[in-house]
Amino acid sequence: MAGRLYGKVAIVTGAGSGIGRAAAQLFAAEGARVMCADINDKGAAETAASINDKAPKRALSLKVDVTVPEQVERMVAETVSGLGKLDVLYANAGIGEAGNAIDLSIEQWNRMIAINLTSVWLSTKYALPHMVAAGGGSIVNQSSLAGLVGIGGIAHYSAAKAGVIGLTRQVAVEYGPKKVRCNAICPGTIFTPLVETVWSKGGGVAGGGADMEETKKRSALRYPMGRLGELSDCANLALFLASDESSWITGYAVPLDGGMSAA
Amino acid sequence: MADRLKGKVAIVTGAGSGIGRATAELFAAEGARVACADVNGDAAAETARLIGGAAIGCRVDVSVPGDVEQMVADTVTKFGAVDALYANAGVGGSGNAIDMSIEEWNRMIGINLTGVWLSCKYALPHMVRQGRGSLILQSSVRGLVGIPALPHYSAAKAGVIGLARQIAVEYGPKGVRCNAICPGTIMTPLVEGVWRAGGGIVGAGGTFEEMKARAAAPHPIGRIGTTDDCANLALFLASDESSWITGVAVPLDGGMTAA
Repeated sequence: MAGRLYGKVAIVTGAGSGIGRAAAQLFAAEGARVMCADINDKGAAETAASINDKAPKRALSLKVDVTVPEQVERMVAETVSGLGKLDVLYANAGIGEAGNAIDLSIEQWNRMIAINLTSVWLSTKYALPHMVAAGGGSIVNQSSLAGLVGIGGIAHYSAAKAGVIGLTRQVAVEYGPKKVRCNAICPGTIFTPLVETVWSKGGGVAGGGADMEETKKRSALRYPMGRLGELSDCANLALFLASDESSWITGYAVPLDGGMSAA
Repeated sequence: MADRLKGKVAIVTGAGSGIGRATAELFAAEGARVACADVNGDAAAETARLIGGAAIGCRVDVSVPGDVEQMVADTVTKFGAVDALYANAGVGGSGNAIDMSIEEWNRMIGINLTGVWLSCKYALPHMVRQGRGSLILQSSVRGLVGIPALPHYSAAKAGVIGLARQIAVEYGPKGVRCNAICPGTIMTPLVEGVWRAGGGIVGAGGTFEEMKARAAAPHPIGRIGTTDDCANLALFLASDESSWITGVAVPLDGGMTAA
């Protein structure tokens, strides 16, 4: 029962809800100690508390805006000082927003690139020295199906998420000899609280609508497996990439999409 | 823990040695009942014996339709289902696109591509009937990028990826997943034997350790793969942990194809 991440220390950004919370909880259940980081400090604290209720002192939480270098630096420093080291980084924090290449404002563009791309680099920037010094580590970056294929209505999001894949490959190749791995997860639509909120306001790339079940069904039709993704789908993949089971896998952008990008 | 495939039935082809044997053993350790298939019937039986009660051995030439049909039928008769199939059996070779004979080409395609399709052909009806299943097809980094020598091997392995995507899209709605594994050089008993005899495709000459170092060079992680690397990936793809992953070709190469 040692667990697939037994003895490891992980940071999960965006751990205050949805995918990040599910991944932090799964990592902890598999034996890791986890820093739960989120700009929503209440959400991050709730995640950490849910972990510590089952296994005391397994989790810490911290309010972090991943676009601010000093805050990301502090996140890594507090992880190392509080939990002793850093083996795994799941750079999951990000936002969604609709917008096409004509109508997007420069402010929308810059904000998206900063939150969904620059932040991933910042997390990597501050995590890498510890991983290199320790002789290894695993970085898991959150990309998207939109980083692999063109999807209407999300120009800035697509650019940021494809950028994450480029960064992932580069880091994998440069730090592989130091035994640091770096992979990206490219999910299609995962039904998170965030997606639910966007859809309920009539937004979203599947063409939102007030009838949530109807929208869900319409969106699921686009995936050969006939359903949307679940939090556990993403958490399970992140776990595999975080663990030593994948120790010869690096530089890969894994489609997590029920077969959509194979079609 | 050891229950990631609890209650499942798996077929592993090429289970008589190397990657196939390591995977069959891991699947069984994680709770699956396993049909161990190999063209070397004694080796298949030995893998089943090593596993113990929850395994059977079958002598199968994966390029012969009747053999493959029998393999699937025996598995279903013995264990009642087929939830995962790891079509791992394959052969290596040598040669270039000019000097290769049609016989060498046809044999390679017959085993490394047609053999994979045949395994899918006979397993799929059971998986569709069950409403679930995971097909794992052994491809190679040679299916993803060009590497000198072995044009027939590269063609077969790229063909496997095309097949994996097609099956994923067509049978996804029936609950069946299909993914490919694309390894770089994995140290197997077969590879070790060839290298120790002074052969292999990484450049002849030098000691075994020198050949190993030369083979590791293109992989950023700085080592060649192990049978465990492959077995762990196959386990993840066979398990329900990957139930929204289908139609992907996973490079298992220490970062080689990212460079």
